[in-house]
Amino acid sequence: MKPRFRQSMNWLHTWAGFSFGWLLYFIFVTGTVGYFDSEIDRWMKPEITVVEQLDNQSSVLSAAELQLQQLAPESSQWYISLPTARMPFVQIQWLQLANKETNTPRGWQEKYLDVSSGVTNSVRETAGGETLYRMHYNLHYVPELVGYILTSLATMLMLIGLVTGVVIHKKIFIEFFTFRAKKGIRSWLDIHNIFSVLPLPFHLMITYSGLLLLMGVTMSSIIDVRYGEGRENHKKFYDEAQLDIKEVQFIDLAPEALSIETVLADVAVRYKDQNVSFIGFIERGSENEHYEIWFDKYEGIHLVSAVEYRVNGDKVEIEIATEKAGSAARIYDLFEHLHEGLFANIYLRWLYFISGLLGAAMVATGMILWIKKRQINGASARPFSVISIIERINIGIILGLPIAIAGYFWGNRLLPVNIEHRADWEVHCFFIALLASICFCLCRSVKKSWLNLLWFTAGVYLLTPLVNMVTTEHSIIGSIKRNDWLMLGFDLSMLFFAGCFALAAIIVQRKNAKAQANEEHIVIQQKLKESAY
Amino acid sequence: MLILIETLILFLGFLCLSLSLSRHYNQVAPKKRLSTRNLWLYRISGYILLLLAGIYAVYEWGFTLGLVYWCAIATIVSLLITLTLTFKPRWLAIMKVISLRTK
Repeated sequence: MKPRFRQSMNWLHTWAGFSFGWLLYFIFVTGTVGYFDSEIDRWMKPEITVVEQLDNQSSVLSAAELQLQQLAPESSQWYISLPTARMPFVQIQWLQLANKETNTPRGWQEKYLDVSSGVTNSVRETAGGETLYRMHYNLHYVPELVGYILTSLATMLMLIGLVTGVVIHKKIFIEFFTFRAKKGIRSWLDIHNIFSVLPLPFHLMITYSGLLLLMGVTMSSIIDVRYGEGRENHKKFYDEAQLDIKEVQFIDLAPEALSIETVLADVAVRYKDQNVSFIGFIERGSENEHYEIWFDKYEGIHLVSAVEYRVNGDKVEIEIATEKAGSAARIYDLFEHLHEGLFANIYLRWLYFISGLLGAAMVATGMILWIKKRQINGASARPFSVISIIERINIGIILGLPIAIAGYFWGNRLLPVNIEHRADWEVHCFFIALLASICFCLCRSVKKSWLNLLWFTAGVYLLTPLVNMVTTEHSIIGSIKRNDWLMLGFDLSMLFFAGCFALAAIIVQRKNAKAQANEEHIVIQQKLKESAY
Repeated sequence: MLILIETLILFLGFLCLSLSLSRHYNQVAPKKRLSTRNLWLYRISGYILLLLAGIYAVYEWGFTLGLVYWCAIATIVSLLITLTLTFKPRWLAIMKVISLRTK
């Protein structure tokens, strides 16, 4: 044990941070990208027709219903999604039950509607922004449960890292704005502090809420003890704990007239200022057949849950879920909404994104610091020492993840549309790119790895809009003309990130050149001294 | 736009707080000495501005959302001030001239 409390906390901070550092970096980057998952989804499905507002809602609805009737007449749950700000298209979804003959598992199917023709678009099979986002807690190539456990463990260590970090940072207020550049390890420590302390509210919130979101897994034993083990018993717990407070009213609508159109008409009057994002036709054909309405605009942090329309006796009643009954569930909801940020408008969403990137940078600079502190004694002079291997893998992961994300996007555009398991192959592209980056770094010197990979990342992001233009009919100019803001925003963001990486590459190049010039200067001085004797 | 007003108040607040530290005061005004009087003036006005920004955010967006905006914008603003203090401290001298005039 260390003699003093602060030293103890320093030890804990170092090892809690280091042990899952790379996983945490992965979680931060993929999670941060997930704040724009809908926007990325749109880019990765270039075939869908974008529509901001429906001029002829009823004809579109009939077309959607017709398609659903043709594609999924037996399905018990239908959803039609209407255009919203982040998802400007019409989509139909249905629950397909497991079919033993065709060996299809139970799952949701979705199709995008072309509003002008009324038929569905054939969209390339893609993992989309959604998979990129879900990777931050499911991980990949491992069973979901393993992903949850590893993520939760990493998050707990992250929380320990945050709290110990605050404890050991003696001068947290004095050095709040301090960044002393060009001073070696001191600079790295300063920037690690900046990335940790300035977004501290975000980091604490995201870590703690992350733990809460996975508490069903980490604390499942508690549910086991009270309710019994197994899915059925756990479901009982969730039904009780997450009970909604519901307002029930009878409304003036004839039961025979209850249909998607009449429900939407009633909603338009009752909730004049809200946009409907989904309408669902649930448990079709059963006694409990009802319609669900979901809204796009949320009131502050609290999501307005579904409004349900059903026939009760000889009247139509609506059920409005306002909020959770239990106070624990309300607190959970609050943290869940803060974590997911679904309520955020575009500006707040970018702020969330930047804070997430700062978190990733916090972890990355922490790893770099750990490595640099162990190189003080020149341990990495030998290229195959453990510390130099770790250093190279570190660079491979820090820059490899952005490269992998770009590789994911390129895979979406370049993989042939008709190959089997296309979505899986897009994710394989992601991990192949990551692995290639790590291998590249293992073969190059540290300085060259940083420089080469920074330029490579800049290049690959710069070319992404070009790949878009070459492989689809979308381009930056085209998106401006068509008011396709999500496509445009994505392409422009790619250019912006390319610029950032290029700037970093230039800074590193100048630093290397200066260091090189200094070294040569010293060598010349030495030679002059020697020749003077 | 509401976010811009909030950003401005938070910027002034964090700027005052940074100037209340002699390390950063000397980055912005290299020849001058931070007097104790100015230190406390900067520090108190900085905290008051931060509080005002918080009240404004809660007034404008409600309690939870207001706090979210306050924290998020505070992060970005302090990051920008930090980077400016390190690389281009003279840019902040412009603001400082306005605030020092009243003291």
